Amino acid sequence: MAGRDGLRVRILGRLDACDGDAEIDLGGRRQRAVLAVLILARGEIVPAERIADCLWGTDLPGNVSGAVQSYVSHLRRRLQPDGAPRSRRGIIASAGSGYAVRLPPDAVDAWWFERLVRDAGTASTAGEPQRAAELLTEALELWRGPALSEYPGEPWAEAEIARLTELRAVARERLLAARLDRGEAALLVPELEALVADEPLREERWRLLVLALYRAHRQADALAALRRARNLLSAELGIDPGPALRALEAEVLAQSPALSPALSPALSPALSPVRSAVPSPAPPPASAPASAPPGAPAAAAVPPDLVDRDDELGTIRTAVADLAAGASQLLLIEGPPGVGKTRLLAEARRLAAEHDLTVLGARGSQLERTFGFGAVRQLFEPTLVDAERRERLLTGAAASARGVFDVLDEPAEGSFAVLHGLYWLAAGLASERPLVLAIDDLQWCDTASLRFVVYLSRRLDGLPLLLLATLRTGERHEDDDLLAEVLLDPSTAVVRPGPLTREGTAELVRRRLGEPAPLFLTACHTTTAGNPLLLRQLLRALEADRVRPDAAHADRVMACGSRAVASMVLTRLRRLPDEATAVAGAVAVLGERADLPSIAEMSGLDEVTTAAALADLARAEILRDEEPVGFVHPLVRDAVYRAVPSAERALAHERAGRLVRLRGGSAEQVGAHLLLAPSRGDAASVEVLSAAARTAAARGASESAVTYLRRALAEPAEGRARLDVLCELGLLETLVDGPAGLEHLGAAYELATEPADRAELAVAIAWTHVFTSSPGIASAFAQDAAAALPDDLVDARQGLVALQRISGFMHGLDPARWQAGPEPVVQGDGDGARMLAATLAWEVACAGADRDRSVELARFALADDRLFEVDSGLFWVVAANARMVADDDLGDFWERARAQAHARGSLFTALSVNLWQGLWQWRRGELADAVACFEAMLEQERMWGGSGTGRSYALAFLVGAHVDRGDLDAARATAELALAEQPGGEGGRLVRHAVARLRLADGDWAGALALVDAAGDSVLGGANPAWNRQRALRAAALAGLGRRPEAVEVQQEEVALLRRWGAPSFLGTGLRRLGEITGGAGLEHLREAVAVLAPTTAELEKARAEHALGRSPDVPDEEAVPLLRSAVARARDCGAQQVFADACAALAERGHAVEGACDLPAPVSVTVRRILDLAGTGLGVHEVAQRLFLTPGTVRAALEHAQVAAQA
Amino acid sequence: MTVPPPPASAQARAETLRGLCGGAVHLPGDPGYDLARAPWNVQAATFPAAVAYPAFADEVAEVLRAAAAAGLAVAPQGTGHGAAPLQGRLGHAVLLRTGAFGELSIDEDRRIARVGAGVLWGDLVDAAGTVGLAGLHPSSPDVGVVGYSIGGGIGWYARRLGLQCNTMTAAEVVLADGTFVRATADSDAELFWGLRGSGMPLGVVTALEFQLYPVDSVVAGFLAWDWTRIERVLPSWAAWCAEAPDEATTSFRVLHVPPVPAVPPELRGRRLVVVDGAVLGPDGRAAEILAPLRALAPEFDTMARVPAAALARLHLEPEGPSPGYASSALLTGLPDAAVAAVLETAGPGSGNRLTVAELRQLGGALGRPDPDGGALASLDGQFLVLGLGLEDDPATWPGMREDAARMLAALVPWTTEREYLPMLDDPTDPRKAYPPEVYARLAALRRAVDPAGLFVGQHG
Repeated sequence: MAGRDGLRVRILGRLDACDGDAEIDLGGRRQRAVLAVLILARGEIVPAERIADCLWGTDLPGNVSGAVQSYVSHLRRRLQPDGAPRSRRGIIASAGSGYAVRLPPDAVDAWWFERLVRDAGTASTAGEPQRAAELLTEALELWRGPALSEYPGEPWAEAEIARLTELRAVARERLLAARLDRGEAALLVPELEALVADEPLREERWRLLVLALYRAHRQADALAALRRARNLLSAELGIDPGPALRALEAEVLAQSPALSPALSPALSPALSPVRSAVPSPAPPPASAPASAPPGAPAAAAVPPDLVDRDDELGTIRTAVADLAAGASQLLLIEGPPGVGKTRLLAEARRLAAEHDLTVLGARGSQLERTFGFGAVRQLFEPTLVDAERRERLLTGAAASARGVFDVLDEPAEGSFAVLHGLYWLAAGLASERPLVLAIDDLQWCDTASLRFVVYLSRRLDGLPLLLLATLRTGERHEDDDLLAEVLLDPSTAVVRPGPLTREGTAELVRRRLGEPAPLFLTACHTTTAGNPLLLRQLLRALEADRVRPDAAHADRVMACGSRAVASMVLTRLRRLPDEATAVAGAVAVLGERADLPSIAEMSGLDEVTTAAALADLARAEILRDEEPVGFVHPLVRDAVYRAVPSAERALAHERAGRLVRLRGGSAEQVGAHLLLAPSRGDAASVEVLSAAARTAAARGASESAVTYLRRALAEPAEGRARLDVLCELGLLETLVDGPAGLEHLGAAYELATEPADRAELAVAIAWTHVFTSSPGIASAFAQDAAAALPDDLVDARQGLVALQRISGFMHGLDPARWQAGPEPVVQGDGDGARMLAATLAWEVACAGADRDRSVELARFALADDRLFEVDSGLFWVVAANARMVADDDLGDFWERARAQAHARGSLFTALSVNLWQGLWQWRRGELADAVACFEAMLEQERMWGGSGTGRSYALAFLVGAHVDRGDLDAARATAELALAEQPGGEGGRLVRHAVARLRLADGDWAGALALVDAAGDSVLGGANPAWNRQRALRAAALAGLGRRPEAVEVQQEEVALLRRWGAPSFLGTGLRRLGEITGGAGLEHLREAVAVLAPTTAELEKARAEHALGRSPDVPDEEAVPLLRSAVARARDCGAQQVFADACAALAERGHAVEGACDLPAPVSVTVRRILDLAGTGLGVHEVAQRLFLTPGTVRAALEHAQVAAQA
Repeated sequence: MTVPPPPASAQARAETLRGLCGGAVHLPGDPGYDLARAPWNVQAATFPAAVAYPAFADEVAEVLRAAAAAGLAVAPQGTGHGAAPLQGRLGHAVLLRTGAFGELSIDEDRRIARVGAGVLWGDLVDAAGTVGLAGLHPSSPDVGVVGYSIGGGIGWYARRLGLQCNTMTAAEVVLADGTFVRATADSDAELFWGLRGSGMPLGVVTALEFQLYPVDSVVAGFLAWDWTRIERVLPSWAAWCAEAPDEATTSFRVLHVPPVPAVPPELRGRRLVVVDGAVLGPDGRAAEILAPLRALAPEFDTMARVPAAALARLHLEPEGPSPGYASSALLTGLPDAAVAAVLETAGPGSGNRLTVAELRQLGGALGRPDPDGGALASLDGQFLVLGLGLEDDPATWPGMREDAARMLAALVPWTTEREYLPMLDDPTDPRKAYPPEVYARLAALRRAVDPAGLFVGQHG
C-alpha cells in the first residue's frame, strides 16, 4: 500500500478514506455508497443511472442525475478539499453521463491486495516460499473485517464481496501452504485445524492439514483427518473427495517421498517474524517477541489472549520441556468454572505439538459420563485408526485393552486386566515418541476412565508421558474419591489459575473494545471478579452493542455484567430469533459432536434454517465457531440446558434417543439419552439399555453397565426381561457396590422360579454376603437356601453348604451354628463338591490333627484349577492356605493363579493372589518379595473398595515381614495403621498377634502378653499352632518377663500340638523356640529343630535355628562355625537384618570373621533376579516389564542398579 | 456528603430481591453495590435498599412485584443525571437501573429511532449520524435518551424543532402493577401524553421511539472572549437574541474553564464568556445570522459546518460521572436591567464561583405550544438562566449553591411562574412546572397508573 501521503481508500472492512493520517469524512451512507460503487468498478466508467440503481433500486428520486451529481460533487470536495473545483475532478472523473475513479493501484486496499496475492503466486512458482509468505502476510494484513462491511447483501456489492472473500480464503490457504513448504509443519497443525473448522468444505484446507500432520510425523492423525474429510464431504455434499485428496491419501499410505517439503527445515530462515505477523483465527499462533532468543521459537511467547498466566504457563512449559527430555509427570489444572483451564490445556497441547510430541486429547462431558471408557476411547482411538498400527499397539500386555476399543463377545470380569492393557497401550505409544495425554474436565470422565487415570498416575515413573488434566473445583462430583486419589497424590503437580488482575482485565478489554476508561475497567473487573469466561461473555455482549469503553458506559457494564453467566447467555439467546433458541436447546440435549441433520430434526426446523441459526449462535458466542458443534463452555451449555423445563428436557432426550437409534448410533449413545428420558415400561428401551450395559461390561466398565441396567429396571422391565436385568445388574454390582448387588440379586432370587436359576443366584448372593454383609447373614442365607433346594441339585447344595461354613469361620460365628451335625461328605466332583472340599480341608487343618486328610481334601479342591473358573478368590485360596499350613508343596500354583487374575482381569483375584502368595514367600524367607506382594495387595484393595477383611490380613503379614527384615520402624508404622482400623474376626486376631511379635522384638514383654490376651482364640480354637501362634507368643512374653517355668510349659504344649500336626517347618520353629526358652537344657530341641527344618523351604527359620544352636556356648566351634556361616548366608539371602547381624556377631565371638561387610547388602529380590534373567535372554526393557507385570521404570532401575553393582 | 446507609429493616426486606434479573441485583454490602448505586451525578450520593438491573420487561415486572411485596418503593433510573433530588429519599426504595436496555435501531426510511432505556445520547447521535439523521439531543453525550426525553429536552435545534419530548412516537412502559404497555397517540394516549414532558415516574419506560431529522451537517461551534469583555458582549447577545431567527439556538455562558486535559490547552483555566450554538441552514445564511456576533471580534471562533453528530460534544462538558449542581429559572426576557443583574452577580468583580453561569436562548418553536404535544407542550419564557457547579472538591459545593442562588435572586423580577424541572437539582414543587389544569390531569393520571405510589418521583 502506498505511503502515508496521498489518498487511500479502503474497502476491506468498513469503507473509509484517508489523506495521509487524517481520516476523511465521506458523508452519509448513500454518498459513501457512490464511492464504493466506483471503486468496485475499478476505474471503469459507471453510468449515473447505474449508480442511481445501486443507491435507490426501484424507488428512484425524481431528479436522478442531479442527485447522483450532488453526491459526486460532495465526495470530490471531501476527497480533495484543497483543490480548485476543476482539479477536484481528478479523483472522480466525469465521462459522459457517468463517472469513474482515477486512483493509482496502491491507493485502494482491495486492488493492492489482489496485486500482492498475484505476486505471491509468482514467488511461489519461482520456489521462493519465504517471499511468498511475506507477500501473503502483507496482503492479509490489509483486511480489517468483512469487505464493505456496511453493505452486506446490497445487490451491487454482493458479487464483489463474495469474490474478495474467496480471494482472501485462497490467500490464507496459500500462506499456510508457503509456510508448510518452509518446514513449519508441526506449528501449522493448530492453525490448519482452525482453518478447516472455518470452512470445512474447502478441500484444499484438508489437503494442507493432512500434509502438515504427515510432515509432523503424525501419520495416523493424517489418515484420521482424511477420513474426517471424507465423512464430512459425504455427509454434507454427498460427494467423494476430489482427486487431490484422493491422491494424497494414496501417497500418505505409501509414505511417498513426494510428501516431503521442498526445503529442508534446517535451511529455512528464522520462523518467528512471519509467524507473528500472520492474522489467524483461534487458536492464535504465538507471537514471538523480537527479543526471543534464536533457536527457542515461541518458547517464551505468551499467546495474546492468555493474560495473567505467566506462572501457569511457566509450569506447563517446564513440564512439556521435561517430557521432551523423557521425564514423566501428572499435571493438574484446577480451578472454578470459567477461569481458563481449558485454554491452558490447549496451550499445553500447542506447546507439545511444537516439540513434536504426540498429543492425545479427551474431554469429559456430563451426557457421556456413562460411556464406559469413553474418555479413554477419545484419547486412543485416533491412534488406532490404521489397522496395522492398531495390531502393533494392541499386542502383548496391551492386548487385554482390546475390549475397550472393539466390542468382544467375552465380557471382561473386572477392570484390572483392562487397566493393565491400557497402561501398556500408553507405554507403547510413549516408547515411540514422548506422549501427552490431555484430558479436559476430568471430573466428568466416566468412572472406568478415571480408574485408568489413577492406575496410570501411579505408574508414570519411567514412561515419557505427561498426563495433563483439568479439574473443576467448587462443586461435588460423582467420583470425588477417585479424583481425590489423583489430586492428593504427592507427585501430582497442580496449577491453579487465579482470577484476572485489574491489569489483565484491562488488557482483554483493550483488545476487544479499545482502551477502557478507569471507571469502565473497574466495572468490568468488579462484575466479573476476574473470571475470564464471564469477562469474555460480557465483552461479547458489549461488543455486539458497539459499546464504547468510556466512563459513561460503565453503567452498561454493570447492567450486563452483574448477571450470572447462565443469565448472560440466556439474555443473549432471548435477543436471537426463536429458531436459535430451539437449535441451542437441541444441541444442549444432543450433546457434543451432533450433526446438522440431527440438530435440524431435533429442533423441528429445516436444515438451511438450522444452519443459519447455528451461525447466529456462533456469532453470539454461545456455540463454538468450529466443528464439531458444541458450546463455547460447559457452563453455557448448562445454562441453555437448564433453561428448558425438566419435563420437556426428558421428552427431548427421548426424541434424541430415537433419533440416534435411527441414525445407527450405538446402544451406549442411545442409552445415554434414555437415562434422561421418562420411564414408559417400553420393552425396546429395556433392550437397548441392556445392550448398552453389555457393551460397557464387555469393555470392563462395570459402573457404566450398572447405570444402564438400573435405568432399564426403572423403565420398568417386566417379566423375564426383569429377571434378566436383575441378575445382570446384581452380578455386576457385586463388583462395584456389594449391598446394591445383594438387593437386586435378592429380588431376582424372589422372582426366579427355575430351581437351577435359583441355585445359581443363591450361590452368588451367599458369596456376596460373605464379603459385604454383617457376620451371620451369609451363613444363615446359605443354610436356608441350601435347605430350599430340591434334592436333585446336589452339587449346588454342596456349594451353599461350603459358603455357609466358610463364612461361619470367617465371621467368627459360634461353630455350634454352622458346624453342627455330622460332617458333610463330599459327593461327586462338581464345583460345589470342590468348594465343600476346600472348606473341609481348612476345618481339618484348624483341628490340627489329620494333616493327610486335610491335604487330600485341599488337593482335590484345587485339582485341574477348576475353581479358578467359578470363584474369583475364596475357596481356592482357602484350600491353598490349608496346603501351606501343611507344608504341602504348591509348586507353581501361585504363578498360575496370578496368570489367571491377569487373564480374567479380576482385581479381586489379583489382590487375593498377592496376599496369599506373599504369605507363601514370607514363609520361604523371600522377605522383599513378600513385602512387595503385601503392598501391592493393599493398593489393589483400596482400588477394589472391599470390606477390608483382606486388608487386616495383609497388614498383619506385612508387620511380620518387616519384623523379620529387621525394619522395626516400618513394622511399627504398619502396626499403628493396622491397629487404628480396629479389625475384628480372624484378621483382627492376626493383627494383634503380629503386633505382639513386634512388641517382643522391642522388648515390651507385658505389652505383647496383653495383646495376645486381647486377641483371643481363633474360631476353630488354637488346636493348630501352624495357623494360631498364640502359645509361642505367650511363651516368649512370659520368658521375657522372667516367668520361665510357665513359658516352658506353654511352649512344650505348642510343640506337642505341632508334633501331632506334623508339618515340619512349623514344628522346627516350635522346637527352636522351646530350645531358646529352656536355655542350657534346650540344646537337644535346637538340634532337632535344625534337623526337622533341613528338608523344608523355610529358609529364614533354618537360619534362626542354625544361629540359635551355633551361638550356644555348649556347642563346640567345629559344629558351631559352619552352622553360623550357614545362618549368615541364609539370613543375607532372605534380607533378614537382625538374624544376619546376630549370626555375624556370634561368629565374631568365636573369632571368625564374616567375609565382606557385616552390613546386610540390599537384598536381591526374586523379582530382580527374574528381571536380570529375562534381560539376560536378550529381551528389552518393555518385554521384560510386560512379562513380569512391572513398569518399565522398575525394570530399567533394576537393570541400572545391577550394572552399577557389577562395576563396583 | 455523607448519607446514612439504608435502614436495616429495608435491607432485610430487600433480601427477597436477591437472585432476580439473573443475579443482577446488588444489595448493600455486595461487591458491586457501590458501583451500581452511583449515579452520574456523584454529588448525589444515594443509598437505596437494593439496585436492580433488569434486561427485559418481564424482569422489570418481577422487580416491581418483589419490591411492592417487600414494602419498598421503586426509583427507575437511567444514568442518574437527574439523581440529585433523590438524595436521601431512597433508603426504602429499590433503584431500578435501566442500563441493560441497550437496544438501538434506526428506521432510516421513516426517520424513527428506537432506543432502549440504557442508550445514551452519544450512542444515538453516532448511529443516526452515519445515516445522515439527527435527534434533538442535549449538550452532553452521556445523558440517557429516555430520561432526557420524558423530562422535556432542550437541544441545539430547540428554537427550530421544539422540545425532544414532543418528537416521541411511542413509549414502552412497565406499569406499577407489572403490565407492559406500548403507549402511542392512538393507544394508551393519556399515558403517552403524560410521558411527554412530565418527568413523572408513571412507570418504567423500557424503550422509546421518536422522530429524527435529516440534519446531515450544521453550522455550529462557539465564539469566545475573555470575560473582561462581558459588558460589551452580553448586551449585544441579548439584543441579537431578540432579532435572531428560529434556525439559530445559542447560549451565553460565563465559563470558568477547568484546568483539565479534556479541554484545549489554550483554554485551560481561563475565564471566558462564550456564545455557543448551532444554526440550521446553508452556510451563507448562517454567516449572515452570525455576523453581528462576529462583529464583536471574538478571540476564538469555531463556528463552522460540522457533522451533526459532532454537536453532542459541542459544550465540552465533562464525560463520565461528575459532581454537578444545577439551579435554574425561566426568564421573560433580558432587558437592560436584567443584563445588569447578571453582570453584577456573575461578571468580573461579582465573586461568582460557579463553573458556568449560563443564559440559554429559548423562544421560537419552544414557545409555541405543540398542538399534538404532550404534557410539556411548550416552554414559557425567552431565556433559561442556569447556574452550574462542576467541581470535584466538595468544599466548593456550598459556595456554588450560594452563588447560583444569588444570581437567580437578582433575576427574580424577570422570572416567570414556571420552572423547568430537569435543570433543578433542589427538590421543587412539580406544580410549578405546569399550568394548573395540566398538573391536575397529570396527578390524576399518576393516581390511575400507580395508585399505591410505588414509584419515587424526582420532584415530589
